[in-house]
Amino acid sequence: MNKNFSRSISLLLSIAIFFSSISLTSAQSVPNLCSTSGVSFGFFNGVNTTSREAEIARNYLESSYGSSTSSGELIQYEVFYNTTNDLADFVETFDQRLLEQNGLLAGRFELFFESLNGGGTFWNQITSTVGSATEILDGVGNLFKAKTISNLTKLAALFTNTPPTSLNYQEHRVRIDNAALSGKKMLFYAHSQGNLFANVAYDYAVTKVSASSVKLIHVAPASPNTQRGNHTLADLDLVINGLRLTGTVAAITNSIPGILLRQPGVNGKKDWLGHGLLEIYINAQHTTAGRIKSHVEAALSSLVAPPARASDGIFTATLTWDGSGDVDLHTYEPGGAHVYYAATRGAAGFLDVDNTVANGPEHYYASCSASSLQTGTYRIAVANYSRATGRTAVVQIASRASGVLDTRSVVLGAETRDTPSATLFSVVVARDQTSGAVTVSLAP
Amino acid sequence: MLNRNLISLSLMLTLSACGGGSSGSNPPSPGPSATASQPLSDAQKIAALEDSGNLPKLDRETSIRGIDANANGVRDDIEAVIARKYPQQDQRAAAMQDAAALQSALLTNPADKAAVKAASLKSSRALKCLFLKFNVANDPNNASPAIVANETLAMTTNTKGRLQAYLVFDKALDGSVISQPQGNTCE
Repeated sequence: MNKNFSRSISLLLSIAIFFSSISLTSAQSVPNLCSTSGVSFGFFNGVNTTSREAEIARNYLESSYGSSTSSGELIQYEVFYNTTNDLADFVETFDQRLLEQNGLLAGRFELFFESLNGGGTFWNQITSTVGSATEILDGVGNLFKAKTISNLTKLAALFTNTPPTSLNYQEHRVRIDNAALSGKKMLFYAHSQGNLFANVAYDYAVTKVSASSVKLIHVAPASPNTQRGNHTLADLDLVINGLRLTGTVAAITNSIPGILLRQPGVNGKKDWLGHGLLEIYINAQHTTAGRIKSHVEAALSSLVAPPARASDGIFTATLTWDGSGDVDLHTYEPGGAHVYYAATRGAAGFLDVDNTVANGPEHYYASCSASSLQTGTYRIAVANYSRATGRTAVVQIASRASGVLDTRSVVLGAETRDTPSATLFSVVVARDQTSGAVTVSLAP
Repeated sequence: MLNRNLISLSLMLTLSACGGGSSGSNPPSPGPSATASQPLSDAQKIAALEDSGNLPKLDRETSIRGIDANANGVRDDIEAVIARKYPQQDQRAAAMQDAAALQSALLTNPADKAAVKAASLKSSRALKCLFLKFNVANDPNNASPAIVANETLAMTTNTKGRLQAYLVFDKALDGSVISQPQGNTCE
């Protein structure tokens, strides 16, 4: 088929498809055993939460809400991570505080993270033996509370004035693109400052799927903007109450016990600030936990799967770009097949979404079928076919077992038609000879 | 109250056995040994907590890597704590996997995005393993995966340099999507 004619057909098809400018490639696909249904559960973490703490929370969320829905659909839990910029600055403050009381605890940075939560197993040992050390802990805690409120205030103002750009959070966006493409329901669950990011993500998602396919649950929102979903806010949340003094926050929905009456949360820790997700909000001793769970269950039961326009694979490659033009995704399979718009069917995978107009996405999957999947290296490249000079092309590789492996971008040069101008990934698929287990990794 | 009594008993036993005890590695120096008639200084009490194992006795040299004589990816001081706290083999292996993943994160070049992502993936697998091997229920008699993970993080970031290295690594993950790995992730 003539390339330009093919492109014209694709263009007409793309216009006909509601909510997208993508065309579904029509060649017979490669046999594939991956299911495409399920729920993508995106957790947007709170203020002063490290990625590790966010991942611990993700594991507890899975324990609390289950790995599948009542109808048996798999739920994939993922952290949509956002950091807190000033946390590193607090190390200096902490260092100074440790010098108090004649340097009793000088240099003991193992107490840093526990201090942010008002204590922990190491602090318990110290304060129960040296009572005066409590003053150091309290001093750090009070400073940290003020710092936390200050950070949230600044961040909320930042979102009001200059929301994060797609470049800052392009990995979040492409993951949402991929969920929309593969027909997954989306449930966003935001805690604290994560609400600011989740609101942006939700607004982006509803440009890709209908509002019935994406839900947002607000927990301890650091923003008055909770109209996108149900929210839960405790009365003794000192962080949000601090924000209340300087601006508008959401209405209180639940009461929690005072600090002296609080039981440890699901992670075995207490939080004197009343703001922690695990310590306070999903603590089964508090009414907040039941309220949030009911919101999760209601969301899961009401979400409607968007139409699947792409398949999952043992791994997938998703291409997007930032504007008009025609950018192409090229995959060179281990067996030598070159998969792109003009040859959508490879030996091991398939280009099942093509876009010729603007923004993408384009999508390739490597088959989950053992008989089709090839081991070896898959080279993933992009080309400015036409009208995309200066555009930023973004490619995300995700594996079935591990989720997002990486997201990389390149600014495109002049048109190169069918010749890729940049190789962004080498994806290595290996099979264990004994167990048959398949692993997917990225070559350095 | 029970814990406090146990600590006091532990302190007494430790001090009678060690003549007051000294961490030898932690500032400030606890000073001369206490006698039965002299109350313990606060520094001596802290040192005694370390000697008794109620607080970990940690390496505080200036390097990020610390001392890993057997080159298994886990600092020797942290390995000793894990071996003592988790006698059950599968739990000890899970804690070691997590400690190794965390240590490798600290040693990752934060400017190398691919390396950061690879270290993050390794850490995700290790954290899930903790949840597979430790009791998720909030049981005061058993370590929860969060307690294990938090204590390992605390011990691994026990100096200013190590803490800063971790926070730089963590910042490099800003904007990432970190997925729950599938299947049995224990090594």
